[in-house]
Order: sequence, then C-alpha cells, then structure tokens
Amino acid sequence: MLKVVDGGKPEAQEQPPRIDPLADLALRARQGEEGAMRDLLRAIGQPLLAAVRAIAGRGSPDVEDIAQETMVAFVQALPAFRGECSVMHYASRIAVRTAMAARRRRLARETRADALEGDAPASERYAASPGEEAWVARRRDLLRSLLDELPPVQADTFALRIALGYSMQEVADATGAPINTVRSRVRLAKEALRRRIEEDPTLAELLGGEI
Amino acid sequence: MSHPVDVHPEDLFDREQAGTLTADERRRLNSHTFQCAACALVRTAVRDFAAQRNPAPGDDALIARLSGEALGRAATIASGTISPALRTTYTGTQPRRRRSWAVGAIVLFAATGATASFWSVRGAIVQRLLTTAPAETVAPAAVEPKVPIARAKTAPPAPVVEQPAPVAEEAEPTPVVVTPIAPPPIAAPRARAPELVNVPPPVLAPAADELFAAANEARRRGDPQKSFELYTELSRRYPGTREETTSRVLLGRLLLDRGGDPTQALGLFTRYLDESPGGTLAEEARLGRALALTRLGSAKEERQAWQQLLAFHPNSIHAERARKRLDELH
Repeated sequence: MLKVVDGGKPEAQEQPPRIDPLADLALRARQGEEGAMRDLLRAIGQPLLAAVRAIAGRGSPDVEDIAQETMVAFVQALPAFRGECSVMHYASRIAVRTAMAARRRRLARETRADALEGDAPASERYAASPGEEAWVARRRDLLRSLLDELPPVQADTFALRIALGYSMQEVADATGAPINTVRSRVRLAKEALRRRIEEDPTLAELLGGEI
Repeated sequence: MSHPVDVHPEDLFDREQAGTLTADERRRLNSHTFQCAACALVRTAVRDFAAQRNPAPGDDALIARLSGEALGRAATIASGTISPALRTTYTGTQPRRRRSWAVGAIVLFAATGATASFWSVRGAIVQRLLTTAPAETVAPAAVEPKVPIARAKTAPPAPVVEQPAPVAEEAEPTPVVVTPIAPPPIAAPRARAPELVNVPPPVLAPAADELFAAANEARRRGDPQKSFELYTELSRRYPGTREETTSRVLLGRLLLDRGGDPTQALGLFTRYLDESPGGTLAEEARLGRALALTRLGSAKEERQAWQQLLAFHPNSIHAERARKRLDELH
C-alpha cells in the first residue's frame, strides 16, 4: 500500500507493483513448462505482427519472415528478461529492432541491385500510388528512412513512439531508460526530421501543402 | 518554413493519443504543429502507422503457424541452451522413447549374433528394426535444413477459416497449416472449426484502435450509452492492449458520471493504476478512485485516495478540490 510522507511525495519503494498479465506465463516459459512458450508466443503474436508491419510496411513481402525471426529472437532473449518492463513491451522492442535490422538489410540489397539497374530504391513505391494513398505512403517512407539513419538508441525510441504509438512513459518502460532520456532522444530525432524536411525543398513544399 | 519551437509538447501528443485533450490543450497543440514541421508530420504519421498495425484476416492462423515454426527454429539453433523440457515443447520429440528404441535395437542386434540360427526365421523383423530404429531417433526439427524462414518449412497452406470470434478469445488454429515440426497438442483438444462449406462469409472484427477511436468519438458527441458499449467491447475483445488499459479510466469515468456502479468504477481505476502507475491517465485514475470512494462512503479509503492524488500530482488541477475534501473528511 502506498504511504504518503510529509513532503507530499510517495516513497518510491512503496509504489504499487505493476501487474503484467503475461508475467506468469513468461516465467513458466522460462522454466520450460510444456506449452507455456507456445502460449506466450501466441499471446504476443498480434502486437508483434503489428510492430513488424509498422516498421517493414504492411505490404512488405518480408513481414512473415521478420515476424518469425522476431519470435525466434524473443525465445532466445527470454532468459535475459528481468521484468523491468512488461513482456509485451519487451517483445515489441525486439520486434522493432529485428524489423529495422531486416529493413536495413533489404535496403542494402535493393541499393546494390538498383545500382546495377540504374534505379532508385523505394521501400513503399509510393510514386506508383494514387492520391492520398501516395501521401500516406510517402510520410511513412520518410519516417522509416529517417529511422534507418538515426543512431540505434534514437531509432529504437522514435520507432516505438511513432510507429507503435507508445506514450513517453511506455517508451521509457520498454527501453528501460529514464523518461527524460526518452524526451531527449525524441527531441533529437525530431530535430533530425526537421533537418530532413528543410534540406528537401520538394518535400518541404509538399508537406507544407499537406499538413 | 520557420521552426522556432524547440520544446515539442510530447505530453500533449500523449493526451491526444489517449483521447483526453482538452479544448485548450488542442489549441496549444495545433499552434505548435503549425510552426513545427517535424511535429506536424509526426502527428499525421502516427495515424498513418496506426492503420498499418491493424490486424488482417487470417492473422490468428498466421500467428499459430509462425509460433510453431519459430519454436522449431529456436530449438534447432539453441538446443544446447534450452532445458530438456522446453526442447520437448519445441520439437515434440520424446527422448526417453527414442533411447528405448535404440537400446532395443542394440539388444536385438546382439541377440541376432548369438543365436543366429534360432532367429534366422525372424531375420526380416530384426533387419527392419535395425533400419527403422535409427531413423526414429532423429528429432524432426533437428534435420530441418536451415532454409529461408517462414514459408520454407510449411506445407501448402490449407484453407484459412476466418472466425468472427474475438481475437482475444483466440480463434481455433487447427484447420490452418500443418508443419513437419509441429509438436503434439498440449492443451486439451478443442472443438474443430466448422467445415469450410458451412462457414459463413468472413467477418473482420474491428481492431482495438478502431474500437477505441469509435468509443472516444461516441463519448465526445454525447452518446455515453454507445461509448459505454464500445469500451466494454474493447475490454472484452482486447484485454491487456494499450487501448484497453486506457479505456479502463474512460469507462470508469463514464460509470461515475452516469451514476453507475461505483464499485465497478473503482475496480477499473485500480486496475489501470496497477498496470500503469505512471501512465498518461494516472492522474484521472487517482481522481476517479477518490470520487468512487466518496460515492461508496468509505471515508478512510477515500482520504487515502485524495492524499495519493496530491502526493503523485501536487500540481493537479484537482489539487484544490482534493485539499478541500480532505478538510471536510477531517
């Protein structure tokens, strides 16, 4: 139970414990209980798939491969899970990292192939999309390409914030970083985004008309 | 494009996401995004990405298949670091039985050598054991080639039956895909899905964020009954999601505002705080607890609830109200 001290601040060590609905299942999976790992993977499956789709692109042919790769990574990482965030946040963070790494590999492949063919890579091929679809795809593509360029910790933070729609507190929980650090990372990522917009007059003009 | 604004109002973005922006806060956020191109782009893109995260038809089946394949791969990759029980879970293999087969084969081999004349009539059987036993000692997952993941190990996909059942209740995965590494059923067998010919057209349940947005919209346009129904449906379909967690506070507040059951509202606020003591709506949840306890006439607990609100949110707009009520309770 919380105890209020004179200064009006609660004692940190007496904050109510966070209840993770998947904690018990994760513990049993770690202990090797039959079926628990399978149940756990199914429980995190939808948010994990959602994270992969957000980062890789919903229509990406790699979504299934990345989702499976993420599940394997999650199984392997579970013994290192210390319960400092929820199991779902832990899985989402692994999904974001796995998807971003896969995206970078794919872009590298595309760049090499396109260099031979004289084409420019485009992950969502937004130029072929009509109207609003094209706008939406272009916005997503801009942010995904920014994630490719940001330092890893900033990219992790920004992906959780933007692509997964996490609140600042949720990002802090998922990454294990203090919330002020998260604020700083988001601010730096936004500054990088602002520079990208300013450096691309076409983009600035187009976004200016759109948002 | 000018960008004089350096402090991005992340808290306002959070509150917009949670559907709790006040009119004044919305004006502030609009004003900021008018000047800050990065925030304007992010504000729009968050919605774009939300659409990318929506479940797709057949996701339950896909997740079931990917889970099985991932477990098989994980067992193959890290067999040395996984407990025997877990390895059994991954591969569905039975080590003890395999060992007994191997021992049996060796014994039979020795017996064959010692009493060849007697066993000559059983030679064919022994030969069969000697050739089949080693094959059965190989775990299916262990011989899986390391080929491209996901689709490489799957059988041709069977017809996927889209169930209109809620996602949270986990649609029956049995008719979907059979993989060579699938372990035996662990839980009690479930009822099979209906035959394909009798299945009604697929109905795609609304996603969590869609339900959440619809509930918020109903609340904003003054339709508490509809809002209540949608929040309730959200909590039933998608327990544990971010939208569901957030909706506990909104649903609790609806209950209080409409003269509903304060005990139920109290439970919703408490469950939110249990999971998100520092969450975006923690202040509202603590206020809700205090108000619910006021209704319940539990003076001692109500006092603690107001004290907690002041302790955690000393600058809350409800602080004055909390102090006043605490004075009354004294």
